[in-house]
Amino acid sequence: MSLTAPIVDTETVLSVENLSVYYGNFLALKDVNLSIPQHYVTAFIGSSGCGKSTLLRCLNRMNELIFGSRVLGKINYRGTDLYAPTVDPVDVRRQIGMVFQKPNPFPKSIYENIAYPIRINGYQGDVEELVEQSLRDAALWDEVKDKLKQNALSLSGGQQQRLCIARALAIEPDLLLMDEPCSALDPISTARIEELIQQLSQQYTIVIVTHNMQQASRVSQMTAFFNTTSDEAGSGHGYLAEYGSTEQIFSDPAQDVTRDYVSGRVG
Amino acid sequence: MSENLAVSRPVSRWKPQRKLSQWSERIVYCLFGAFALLSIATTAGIIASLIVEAIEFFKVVPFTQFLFDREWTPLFANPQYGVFVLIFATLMTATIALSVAIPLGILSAIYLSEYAPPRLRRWLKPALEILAGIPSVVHGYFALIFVTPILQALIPGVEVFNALSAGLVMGIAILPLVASLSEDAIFAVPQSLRQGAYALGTTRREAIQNVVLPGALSGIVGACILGMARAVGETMIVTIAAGQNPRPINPDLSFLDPRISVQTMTSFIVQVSQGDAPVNSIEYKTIFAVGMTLFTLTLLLNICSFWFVNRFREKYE
Repeated sequence: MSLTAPIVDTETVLSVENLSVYYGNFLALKDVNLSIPQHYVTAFIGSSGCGKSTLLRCLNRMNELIFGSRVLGKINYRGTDLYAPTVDPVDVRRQIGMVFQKPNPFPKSIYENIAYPIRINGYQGDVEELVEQSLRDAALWDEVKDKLKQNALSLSGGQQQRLCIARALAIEPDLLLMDEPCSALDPISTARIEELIQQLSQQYTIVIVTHNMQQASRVSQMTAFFNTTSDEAGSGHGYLAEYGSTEQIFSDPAQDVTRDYVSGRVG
Repeated sequence: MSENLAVSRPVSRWKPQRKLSQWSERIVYCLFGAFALLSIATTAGIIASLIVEAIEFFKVVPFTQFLFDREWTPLFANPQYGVFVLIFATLMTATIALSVAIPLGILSAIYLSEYAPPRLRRWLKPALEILAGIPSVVHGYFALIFVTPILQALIPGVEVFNALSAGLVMGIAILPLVASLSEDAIFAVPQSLRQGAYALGTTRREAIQNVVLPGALSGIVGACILGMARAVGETMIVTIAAGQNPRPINPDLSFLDPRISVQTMTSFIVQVSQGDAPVNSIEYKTIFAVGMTLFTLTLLLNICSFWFVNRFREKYE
């Protein structure tokens, strides 16, 4: 299988080398190689169970919170091996933030949701200022500035998700991972978040997992398509089928499986 | 009764026995309802008998005397009925029990739910709950013949029967309840909140302290209050290990000395029901008055726990 090497004229933030992930004895993802370019939005697409969320969780070592998961291979983040024994996963997650499928604000006030990660990570500047800045960056400030003391759970789903994005941005991450951030939201909230992702991509490097191919083509510059093999026993493993610029993946994919998927013939 | 719609179809190879199933539904409904009613009726009957006999008691002994007498000597020739003697003893043993059960219970709940690997948790939690199955009479003798001698060796002035030993062992006895209910509350905090915390660069301790425990707080407090209710109503341990010595309420607070023998509400009821107090004698009625007091106290604690859990429960959706 030949992977189209992305022609990228930018610095690489993170590169994945021969990564395989097991859950117990089950091989979820096999031999992934790819690199994430700086200041780009990279989309992971593919059908359910192909390992794209698993790979995303490996990038900030969230995957090891799942009991029985094992990671083989290497992830290089700006010259450091993320899985080296000397690396503390807490430091990794501090640099590589994450937004989840379902909005998961803490059952605290809106203000406290943002201020908590700021304080816990030892921010030396003005906390209040950074809270406001983060909410502005997540395009939420105007909607919540008069009710910062209210419980975050009183917000709508879309607002909660933007609050979670604000919370992730508050600690000034180098890389932002988003795991299907719009899958629990209505179309209008989805459009707002997509708009937000485009704005953020000028400042941040973003990796987004999505089931929605239009979303991938709208927001990303790079796209990785994941697929599943199936053996006789019926238990296949996920692998990276094709990786390239979003334009190329959607208009001129190198592989038939990719063409079938992006044209909507399967999945 | 509804018409049999199947009949109106031209091809009727289907003949459901609607009549029969309607009758069996009705019978099952009545039968199960009757059993449900039976358990409620039993509870109502117990409360009614408590109230009736307690009213009889208060016809003889004025309510003010029951509240304000400083001694509890209903079996003496010149009886006094200061129920607070028993209430204070009950609260003292319960407080000692809770000072054991709450810290140990919550800490083991945190360990079980947050730190123990899943395989260990699968073993430990049932093991903890088996502790709750130890008969309280065993706990009572454990307190009397094992814990008390140790306390006597360590602390001067500990009597053979004492509140301290009974309270400590009672704490062990209610520990599984507090731990198990707290663990349920902690485990019920959605996994997505923990992940949210970890993804922001929090350590495990920070995530537990700032996100998980605040989310589980209402359930934990509820568990502690239920533990208190259990400690207040616990009978065998205090009867065996704390003795039958109602201490007069003196200004020197000697009645709160945990080294000496006391009498709780429950152990008084045991004492009188084991003796030969004739039915309808004042001694006999006394146990209903004390029983009523005990019931009121535990009911209040249960309501308190229920209210707290519902009022402060975080709704995550």
